[in-house]
Amino acid sequence: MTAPTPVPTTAATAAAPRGATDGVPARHWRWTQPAVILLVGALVLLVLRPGPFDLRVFTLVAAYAVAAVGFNVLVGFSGVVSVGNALFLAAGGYAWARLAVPQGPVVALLSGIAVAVVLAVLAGMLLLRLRAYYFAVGTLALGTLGTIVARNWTGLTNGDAGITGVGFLQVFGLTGVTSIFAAAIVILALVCLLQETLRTSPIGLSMLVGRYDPPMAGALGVRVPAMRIVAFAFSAVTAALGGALIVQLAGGAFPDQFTTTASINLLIIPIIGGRGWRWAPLVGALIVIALPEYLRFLDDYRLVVYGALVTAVALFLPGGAQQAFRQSWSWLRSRARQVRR
Amino acid sequence: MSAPTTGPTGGPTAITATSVLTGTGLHVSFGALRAVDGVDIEVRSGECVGLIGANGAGKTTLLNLLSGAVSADGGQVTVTRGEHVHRLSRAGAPQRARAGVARMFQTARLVPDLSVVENVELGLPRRGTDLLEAIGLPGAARAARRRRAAALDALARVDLVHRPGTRAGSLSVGQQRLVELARVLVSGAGILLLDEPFAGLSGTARRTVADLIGSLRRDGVGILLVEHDLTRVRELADRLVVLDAGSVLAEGPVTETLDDPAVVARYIGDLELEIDLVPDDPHALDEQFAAGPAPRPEPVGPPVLTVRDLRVFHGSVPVVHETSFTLTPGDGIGLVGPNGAGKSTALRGIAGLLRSTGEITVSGTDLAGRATPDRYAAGLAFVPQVHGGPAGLTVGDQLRLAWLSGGRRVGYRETLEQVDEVFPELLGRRRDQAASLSGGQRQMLAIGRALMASPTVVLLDEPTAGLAPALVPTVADTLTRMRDRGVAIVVVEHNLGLVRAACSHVVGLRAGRQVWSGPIADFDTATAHDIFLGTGTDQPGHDPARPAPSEEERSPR
Repeated sequence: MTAPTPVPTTAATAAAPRGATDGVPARHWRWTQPAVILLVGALVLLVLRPGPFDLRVFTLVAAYAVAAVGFNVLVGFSGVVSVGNALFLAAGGYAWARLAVPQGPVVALLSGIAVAVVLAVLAGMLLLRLRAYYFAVGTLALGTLGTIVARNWTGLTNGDAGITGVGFLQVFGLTGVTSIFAAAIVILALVCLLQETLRTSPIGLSMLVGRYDPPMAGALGVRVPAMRIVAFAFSAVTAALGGALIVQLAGGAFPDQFTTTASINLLIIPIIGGRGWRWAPLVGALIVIALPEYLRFLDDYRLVVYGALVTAVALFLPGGAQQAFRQSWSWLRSRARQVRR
Repeated sequence: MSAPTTGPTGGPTAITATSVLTGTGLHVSFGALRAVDGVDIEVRSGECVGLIGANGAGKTTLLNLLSGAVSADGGQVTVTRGEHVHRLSRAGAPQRARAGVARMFQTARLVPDLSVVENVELGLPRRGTDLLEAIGLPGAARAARRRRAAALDALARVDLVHRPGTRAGSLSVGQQRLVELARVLVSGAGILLLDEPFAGLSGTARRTVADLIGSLRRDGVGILLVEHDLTRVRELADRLVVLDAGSVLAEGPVTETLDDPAVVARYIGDLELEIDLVPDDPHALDEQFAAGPAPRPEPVGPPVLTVRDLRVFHGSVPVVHETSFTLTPGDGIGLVGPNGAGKSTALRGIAGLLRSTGEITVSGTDLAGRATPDRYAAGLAFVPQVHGGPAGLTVGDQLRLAWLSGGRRVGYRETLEQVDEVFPELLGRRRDQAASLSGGQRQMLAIGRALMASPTVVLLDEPTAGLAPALVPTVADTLTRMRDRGVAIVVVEHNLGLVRAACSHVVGLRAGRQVWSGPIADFDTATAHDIFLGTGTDQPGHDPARPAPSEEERSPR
């Protein structure tokens, strides 16, 4: 796979009367983001050397970020809101719990993904006929159904007692949480690469136009429902991967990990991050997962402050964290220009 | 066809195959309304078929049926492409698009957050390998480069190649339309359905779009063109289909069809060039026709309404360009022109209901940028086309309410007396429910409500709309009485008989531009044909580009 090189820049800029601003759009080099993620992950492990608590928090952030990448595509590209994605987390989690030790990690991950995708395509074909809000309600039912099944199908899930002794992904000769963290970072880099590839592909563009203007998309030959199912299936893939990581980190699979709260977290992460932005899953997961942990020094006021912060983001940054980044970036640039003069 | 269209993605090659779009027996109903009622239509490769008709004739609905945006209640749609016949009667819009039927909507519809070139890439035909490319399999980068190159080629054809990276939402309306055309170019569509492609475009953009449509036609694309501006239709279309009330009224070669008196009558709406009025007092009106503008007292003081270089916008789209006129007390200007000319839009711009630029002055007060209530307070009044009035109130209550919400410049009794002088029959029914009034009386009531604010200028939007023809003289009489009281009026009207009877001046608009203006005496049948049917050149009429000030000089008074 080669990175797409920006095209006839010479010809385009030569014709441009006003130069730089109107050039061929900067197509992100799609390896940039994975490379940055891997680099930061390595720095955290080798330089920062976090303690056990911090490392657990970082790993959970990475796991949720993995799961949220697909959600970012679903909400940000396709404009579909689902509140049932904990079902796919559970599919990946329980598949890992049941299969990782007897069958090995690859089988466990792949079967988790397969189950999640089958569920997503079936549910998508059924539910995506519905209009936006009804689809959300339908997926809520789907998520709740998943929790009920996890609690009661004791033959498969061992009910509320859960499945323990699930092992973990061993990478780079590391052990314990460190290894899970490294694996989560690698998987995150991989799904981010997929996300960026999808965004710049015709399918990604079709998803976008299907979100903005379905009638126009139809007139362009885009099958909007099919695009939505593809996005839903992609969200199931990353959710299954994230679910497997969450289970490894917790040391077992329990129904409580896959409740509606998890679904809501998955929904909030890309929205807080700035839906559709390629960094939204990671930034959103930092805010939604890590921030409450580091506000523990506030004791009883922790959730109050956290709630106020999230509300403030929703009120003042409707574009999510991305908006804040963009604004400060352009402010910095204009400052830099002034300084140069 | 020039080199760019032989794009490496393989799409545009399809243009070489001839395409024929056939719709037979198409019909669809919305509730009780049969919007399209058994229409047969055919568009062949390399021809441009003009589709015209009055508002509500079913033009856009027919396009929707052909493109699959609306599914028909019955009838067949087939696309023949080379040897292959696509039967599309049951197919949705995506399938029809894949069969090579491209559709352009009335407003440009791009994804605003994507760049120009990405928007063009959206038009490339879908391919089976798209899904593999989405997960980044080898060859994705090469395919991406090919797509980008094809899109840039298309942008070069519409002369936008220097702006590929611009956010589509930040382009002007005309440029967005050009991007849409580039999107059609890369799609390799054999049939193109265009819904008013010139709406809201500037002169140069119109030229570019017209040239592109012409070159697409030469490339062998079959085009169905819905357009109100008949000058453009004459220029571009090979054949004309005239719709009326959902069915085909006439079809045939452009010039012959436009000369058909039945078409003229339908298309221009209620245009009765031979004024067919049966006024209460025939002599009064006869006298007016004979003498041109009714004898009026000498100009009373300075102008009460000056409109200069008015541009009115729907959103960011300028719909009316550079319209100028001036009224002195008692003047009446009739704004005339075909559907979509921007007549009502101009009125709404003056009333402040739509954003406008240019100078608007009422009795010396500059209204530019003022909100609607401020404009009303300055002496403007607006009688909209749909004038229900508050339900369940008596005529008297409605008038009192209008006085209360108006400027209350003059005392209630005094105002009522003034309205009584104009409309004695209205005041006679003060205690009756408004719903019990006749159509003509309701129109009087609507105008009466406007008069309760003691305006100096009244803007009226189609005062005869929905009225029986027999009531037209009553409305004409109403307007004349108002003018006799020294109130200036601007009236948008389809019924040219009314305009002749009640106005002193005429401003002709076509496609948002002032194409004619002059005193009523000069407004003859030939001029009306010029304004409505766009005969001859782009800017017909005997004095097109003349700005308002010179109109004053010319004014016989």
